[in-house]
Amino acid sequence: MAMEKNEYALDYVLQAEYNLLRKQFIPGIIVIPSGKSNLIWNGVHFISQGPYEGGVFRFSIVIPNTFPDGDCPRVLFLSSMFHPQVDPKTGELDIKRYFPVWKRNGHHLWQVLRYIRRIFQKIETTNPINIEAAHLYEQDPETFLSKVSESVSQSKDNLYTSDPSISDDPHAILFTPWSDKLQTVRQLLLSGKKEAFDQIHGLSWMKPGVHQILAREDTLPSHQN
Amino acid sequence: MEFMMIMEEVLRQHWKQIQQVLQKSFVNQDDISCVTSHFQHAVTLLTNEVASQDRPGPILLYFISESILDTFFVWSLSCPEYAVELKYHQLRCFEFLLSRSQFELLFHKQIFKPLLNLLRSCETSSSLELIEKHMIVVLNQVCVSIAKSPELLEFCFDISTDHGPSRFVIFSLLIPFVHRDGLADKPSAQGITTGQQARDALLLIMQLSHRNEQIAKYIVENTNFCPILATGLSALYSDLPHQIGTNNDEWFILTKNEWSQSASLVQFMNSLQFCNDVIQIAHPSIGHHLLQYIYHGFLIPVLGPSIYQDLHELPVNFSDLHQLSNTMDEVIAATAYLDLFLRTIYEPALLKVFLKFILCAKIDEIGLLDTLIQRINVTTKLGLISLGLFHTLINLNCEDIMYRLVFMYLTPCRHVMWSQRRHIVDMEIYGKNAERFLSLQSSFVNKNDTTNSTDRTQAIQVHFEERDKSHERYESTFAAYLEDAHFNIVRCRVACRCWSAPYDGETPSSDAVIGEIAANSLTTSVSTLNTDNDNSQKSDYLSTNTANQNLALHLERNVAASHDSGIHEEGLIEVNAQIELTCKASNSSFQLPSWLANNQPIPDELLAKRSTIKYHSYFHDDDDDDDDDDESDDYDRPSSFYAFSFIDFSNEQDDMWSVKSLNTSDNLLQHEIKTCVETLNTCLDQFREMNEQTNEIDENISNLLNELIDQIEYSLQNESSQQTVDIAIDYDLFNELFNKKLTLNEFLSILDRLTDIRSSKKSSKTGKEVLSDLLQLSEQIEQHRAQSITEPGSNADKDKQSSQSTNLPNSILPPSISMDVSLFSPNDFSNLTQSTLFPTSIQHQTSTNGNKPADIGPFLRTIFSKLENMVQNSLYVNLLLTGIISRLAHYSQPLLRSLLLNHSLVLETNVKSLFQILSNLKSKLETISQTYNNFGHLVQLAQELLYQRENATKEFYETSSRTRSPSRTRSKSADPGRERTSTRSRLMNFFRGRSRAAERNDTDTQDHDHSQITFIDQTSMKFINIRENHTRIPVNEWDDPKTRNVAYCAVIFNEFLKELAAITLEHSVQQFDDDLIFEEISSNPFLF
Repeated sequence: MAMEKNEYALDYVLQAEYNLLRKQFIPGIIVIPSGKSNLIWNGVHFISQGPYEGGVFRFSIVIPNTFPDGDCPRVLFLSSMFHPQVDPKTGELDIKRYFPVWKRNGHHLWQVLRYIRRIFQKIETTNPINIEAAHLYEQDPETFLSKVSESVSQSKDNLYTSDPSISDDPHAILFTPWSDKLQTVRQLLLSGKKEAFDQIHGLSWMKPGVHQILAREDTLPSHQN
Repeated sequence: MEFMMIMEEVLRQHWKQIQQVLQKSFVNQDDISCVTSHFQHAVTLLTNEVASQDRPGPILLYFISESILDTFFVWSLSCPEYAVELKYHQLRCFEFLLSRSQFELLFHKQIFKPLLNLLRSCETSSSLELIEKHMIVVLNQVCVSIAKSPELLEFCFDISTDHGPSRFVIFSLLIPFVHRDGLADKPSAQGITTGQQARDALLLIMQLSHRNEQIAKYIVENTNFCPILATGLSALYSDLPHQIGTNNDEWFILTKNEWSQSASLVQFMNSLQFCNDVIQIAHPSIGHHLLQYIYHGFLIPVLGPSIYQDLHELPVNFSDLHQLSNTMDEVIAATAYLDLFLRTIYEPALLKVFLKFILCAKIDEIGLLDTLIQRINVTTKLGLISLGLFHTLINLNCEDIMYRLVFMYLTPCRHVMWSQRRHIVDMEIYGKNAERFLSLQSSFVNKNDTTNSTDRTQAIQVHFEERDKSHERYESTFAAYLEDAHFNIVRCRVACRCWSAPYDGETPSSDAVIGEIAANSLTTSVSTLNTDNDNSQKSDYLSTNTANQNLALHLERNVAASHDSGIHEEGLIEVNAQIELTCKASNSSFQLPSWLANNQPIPDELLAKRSTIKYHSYFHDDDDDDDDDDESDDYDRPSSFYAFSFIDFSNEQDDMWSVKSLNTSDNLLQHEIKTCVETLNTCLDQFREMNEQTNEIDENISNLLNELIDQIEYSLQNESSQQTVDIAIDYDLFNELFNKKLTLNEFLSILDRLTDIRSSKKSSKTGKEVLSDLLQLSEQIEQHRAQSITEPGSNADKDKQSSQSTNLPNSILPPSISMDVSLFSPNDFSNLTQSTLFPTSIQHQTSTNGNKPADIGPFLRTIFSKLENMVQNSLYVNLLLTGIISRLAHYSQPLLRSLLLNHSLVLETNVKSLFQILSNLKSKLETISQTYNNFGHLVQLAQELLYQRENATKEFYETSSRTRSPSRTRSKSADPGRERTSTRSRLMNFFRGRSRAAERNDTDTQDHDHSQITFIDQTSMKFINIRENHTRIPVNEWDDPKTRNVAYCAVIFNEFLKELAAITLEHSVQQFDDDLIFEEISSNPFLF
């Protein structure tokens, strides 16, 4: 009797995906699941080179509730985005060209982030969603660049204004101008330790490499005075 | 100032009065009363002065200049008839004085010297409880002073030099009180017992020794502190109740509430605690010494036999069952004590010695651990207690334990298909494994409903929609299991950071472990792991019985000699000629007392609390034949303290238990014989297993079988040292055992005769003959095996059972006990097949791992087979057993995790996976449920009762935790009340989800949060909540204990599956957390 998907299973799949993603370290992209639904992940992409240099683009990943067995996740840019692969009206990235069918085990969400990063590094114009962008990129790079810089500056202008669609999300990524006050908080966070673990001690007298029990004379340093 | 003058004048008057009495040549009672009164007044004056100012004043100076205290003390010695009274008064005065002083009075020699002299005089005459009590109080005060100002130590030794060799009188006086406690020891007004005060005082000295190596050296070399402590444990242990009086079926662990009600147990625990504290805070040399004594003076000679005794003193006749049950009670108590000790000890060094005992000790050539593992199989209380002990062991997060129990056997990766090895580390993140577990949840269909399947689905659907809230509370929410799994796994991972290897199938590599181990029988000890090159001489010596006897002789003489007039040099030299070779080889500077080395009972002197001086000298005589120059570097080479060190940490195998070194041809013979024995072993195991399935036979049989095996092996060991064998097995009987169809009773009687006959009848077969006999025997067995394996319908098909047994020509399986061949695990067959491939395969076995049978080790094998038996197990066994497996599953080491939780990992065909076992159980349970009219209702009743029980337990613990325990705990680190997570919590928390749900319902009945009800809950719920038939249930169906048991089993089975699923899910997200957890933690210097 096959069990249907349950909410816990999906939660754990998504958590595992997120853990995998954290391990990957994708430069320039931060992403965090929405506080309202695990199925929506909010992200920001900082672009440091190429035609989109200086852009700070917000995006959402919308994960189908059938994940990982159903459709591909969708990626939506929240500010205007002039790009051959991005639908100018909806802001949706054409992800199917890279993940025609979502394969569990083969595909992971971190790969989606990689793909987001790649479309700004190497611009492809075959089978574009935004035909105008593709055309200009090929034929009239200057106009293309000026259109792109519109997107970039718009993204920068809206950096500190909170998007109404995410304002009630406790996990929303918000930006504020530089503040020295926050630096102390940052230090505190970075130096934070999991004190709850201090009291947990295992034991081992195994000599590494020898596989002999109770072979070591010393006890764990944590146990000594 | 004027006031001071007056006071000084008053003092002079008192002193004058005192002196008048002191000058008398004869004193009477009136004089004594008069003089003590004046003395008290004088001391009160002094006390008032030292209490009111922080530097010496005129009264103190007058005391010093007139030597008042000293003069008075010296005079008091001249009145022997009033000695006790005078001592008492002086002690009280000092007690009063020291307790009030604002500054360190003891720096004044005129104060400290008479005090020390007074104390020393108490040593010889401290027979009175009153004197004792106040002496300890004063000693405690002195120790506090010394701890504050260690310079005072100089005084302690200096002053006493005029009394012979330098003695640390304060220390020697305290030692006899180390173990003083219990009811006889009335607490003082402050509620502190004398024993506790003495221990506190000693701990202060111990703390001092940590910084002052001189003191440590003195204590180790010149006092009997360590042996007294350790042997005191033995004495106190023997006073413990030999039987734990409880009729409670579920009892399996001693909780604080239970043990604090037994005075003798409290006393023991206080002393154990004290040892723990001493090892923790004293100088390492003291700790090391004490550990040696605890191992050799308590664990091996006392605790060992008490745990082991059922195999020793098994009655030869079955009629002698009363004695057996007494012995059984004692073993149960001893096992429970050991478990309690393990949960109480916090000092790792002490714990290590205990683990050394459990994991490595061999008693009568059988590893203690193997015995303990075998006892899990026992169907009585002992099985439950043994499970409890293993739960405690597993719960320690100790690599050595887990290696010995589990990873040692899994590391070679023989349990998985070769091609699957790389998948050991795989982690499936989509929850498939969890779903698998959940899919095994049994649906208990009522007999009435089976005819009409549509009815059934309707019933289920109904209950999907209208959940019965009153039963919701019985259902653990899956979320609760997830939460528990999360924290348990995190805790386990964090604890395992200190482990030396990840056990992921690559490190340690699969061929790193010496191959012998994994294929061994239950009797193989861990010491075979260690092959040392330079100890062959010693182990040779130790392996022969004759030499052992000589050793014993020597040591006995040594004792005798030291008891009368000293050392009889000639006697020693005579026997030493033989043993010098080995004793001196390890250039020891220290010998154990002979009774320790021989596992003799503790000499009475040691147990007598006041015989310290006598023992003192006795003990030192033992050392006299040592080289003097060695003594000075004892601390530098702690591992070479003992000639016969069993727990010599650097040379593990340097002991009696090391594997016998034989020449090669003998070795081969030995090996072959061993293989034969293993075959028989397996066979007998199976017979025993089979018998347990019938649930009719207690562990007598298994004990007898074990004894039989012991017997064979013992003979084989003799074989190696002598050329002829005195094998005590009657082979005719033995053959009969295997060749005839026997009823159970016949089998028993033959076994009885076999073991009985061993003392009288001896065969004079040579090793070769024995071997060929055994070979023949095992070949026969193998034939039976082969036939039964190739038998097509040998699956769990009971119909074919009869035809099967007829197909076995010389069946070893007595038909009368309805032997089901399918009950043999495939594992056993394969073991057997492998082990009977000799002699041709012997070379292969030693050279490669490939031919080794797939194995998961005796512990997992036993646990798994116990789980397979779940339907027959009692409720409590099942609770504990599933708890142990869940606890094992918390370990994230891939080798274990994959075995338990990854159902897609393909194991070798003869290794059953947990998933397989659970699948079989599911169908078994479902089949059984069909035999009842309304099994769903029974399950519901079971849940209800479990729920009530849990609540009752919780209430009990809430009320009882308010009452303070009588024992006072002082240790900074270890609080005996703070035992490690008791396994009891398992029983309590098994339905923790339910109790949470209940709480929620209580507060929030109206507005129930339906979003919390998951699909998973509903699926398991729907089967339990079929209500139509409730009224129709005959009550007496529940009254049958067997039925009840099955119903409980069904509840636990479903809950267990949820728990496993939750653990699996948690692992899937935590494995990727690795680096994160570890980075954050390693940045914290305190954690590593």
